[in-house]
Amino acid sequence: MRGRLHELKWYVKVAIHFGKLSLQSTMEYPLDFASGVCVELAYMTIKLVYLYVVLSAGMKVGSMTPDMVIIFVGTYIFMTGIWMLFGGVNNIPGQVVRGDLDLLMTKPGSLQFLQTFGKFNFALAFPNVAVGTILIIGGWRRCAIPVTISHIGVFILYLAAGIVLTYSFGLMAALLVFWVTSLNAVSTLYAALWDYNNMPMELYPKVIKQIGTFLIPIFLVTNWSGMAVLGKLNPVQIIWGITVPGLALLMARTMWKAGIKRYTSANG
Amino acid sequence: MKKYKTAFFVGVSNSMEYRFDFFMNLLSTVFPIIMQVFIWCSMYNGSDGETMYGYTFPQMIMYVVVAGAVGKFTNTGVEYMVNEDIHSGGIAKYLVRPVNYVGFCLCNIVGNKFASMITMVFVTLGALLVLFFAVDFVAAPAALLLFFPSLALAAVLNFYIFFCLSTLAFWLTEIGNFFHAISVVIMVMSGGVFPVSVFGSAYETISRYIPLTYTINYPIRILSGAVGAEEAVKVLCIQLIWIFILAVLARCSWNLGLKKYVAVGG
Repeated sequence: MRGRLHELKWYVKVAIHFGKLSLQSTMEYPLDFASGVCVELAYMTIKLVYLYVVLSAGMKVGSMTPDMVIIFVGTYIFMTGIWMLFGGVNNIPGQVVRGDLDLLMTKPGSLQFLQTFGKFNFALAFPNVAVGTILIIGGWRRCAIPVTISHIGVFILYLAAGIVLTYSFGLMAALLVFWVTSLNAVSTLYAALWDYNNMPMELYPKVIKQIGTFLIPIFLVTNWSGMAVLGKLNPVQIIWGITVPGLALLMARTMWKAGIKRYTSANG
Repeated sequence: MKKYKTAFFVGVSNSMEYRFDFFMNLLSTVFPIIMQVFIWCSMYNGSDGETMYGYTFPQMIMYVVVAGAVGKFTNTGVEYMVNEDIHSGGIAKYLVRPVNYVGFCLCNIVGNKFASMITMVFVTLGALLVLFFAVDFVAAPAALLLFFPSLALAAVLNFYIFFCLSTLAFWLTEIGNFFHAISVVIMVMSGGVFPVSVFGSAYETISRYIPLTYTINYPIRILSGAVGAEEAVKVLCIQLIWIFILAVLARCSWNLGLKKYVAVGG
């Protein structure tokens, strides 16, 4: 047990070190950082246009008032930032195709950890996380949700579950590179699926809600934290929201091991 | 003429090389459309009036269904092609050949779009058939006849808009991200996500005097019947005028950029 704890401490320390290095390398080229921020701000325009339409028309999404929708759009934008932050996950297809995993394999520690936490993209994450947080706080205040430890705790719990899902789904999508030659189409499809979270899941009919909750649980990434603080989760959803991230992480780990077995390289 | 014909056929074969990607991309267009359809269903259900932002419910559904496909079709990607040629020194080979680079790019991209154009005809007709049964939307034959020429002109217009922007690569080194950002903003401003009228009457008025809305918003307005046949012909004329203006601008900025261009290599 003590050995495991010591190992975990080492991984956390290394992850923080990787984070520092990524931040330093980002700041090395300030223009690259600025252009990355501009790209993300442009993509955010689309996300915010949806919110603008809802707010300007005073549209209710199912039982959600426009103010409640702000929390969901905020969480979606925040989580998009987290997805972008995992630069190591998003770089996997390129690394595998170029045979860049060779060097990492010779280093001590878990290969999955070194690859997926080895690089963080702060330029793409920063605008999303910042705007997402502002929207969540704004929506929270407009909905007059009490700022209590239990409310904040449950929101952060499901937000953390969403982060685990973001990592796991992103990893699984990237790992398809071991089986498919061109990942362009898969990435486009995954991004399109991800965008379904641009609006609360209450917008969609029952069939899509069930698919997005149980078959491809993409709705759990951004909907559960908002629904939890608004008291809209039933007991099954509460349990499902905690179980799925663990299962997804396990699946991603299994897929990683299976994928790595297929990895071959003739790098010089 | 033969060389431009060859450029066209190279474009056709390129577009069909990755058929899986081509059809997956087409499928990925469907997902945001489904989301938008539900948004508008929800909005019209909660609204008392028959029209919103100048569109009836069937017209709005038709708009969002066709906008995604039109956006994909008119997006040429010429800016990345020119950027790559400028920064890799690839345009040097065009400078010594008896070929006009702008014309060559246009023919290559028209070729690239040829397969998409055929697909677009079927996608549009299929979508109209579905919309007829789903929301009672009926497209007038005149609107349908005027839609396809306006769509072809929209693609050419979009090509020249982005070609003009791409010549900035002569002066700026790291411009790839700028193209990403500007193409998203242009798509929103052109009406590729929501109709232009959603952004308020002030922008709607301004949009009549800029070329962007003639690439997505107006072709779809023609198809939806929101623009009459007479006004649709006027739209086609405006598209031609903008193409002419931007073609001149592209030529000027290209010549200006070439004066700055330096290539070293064997």
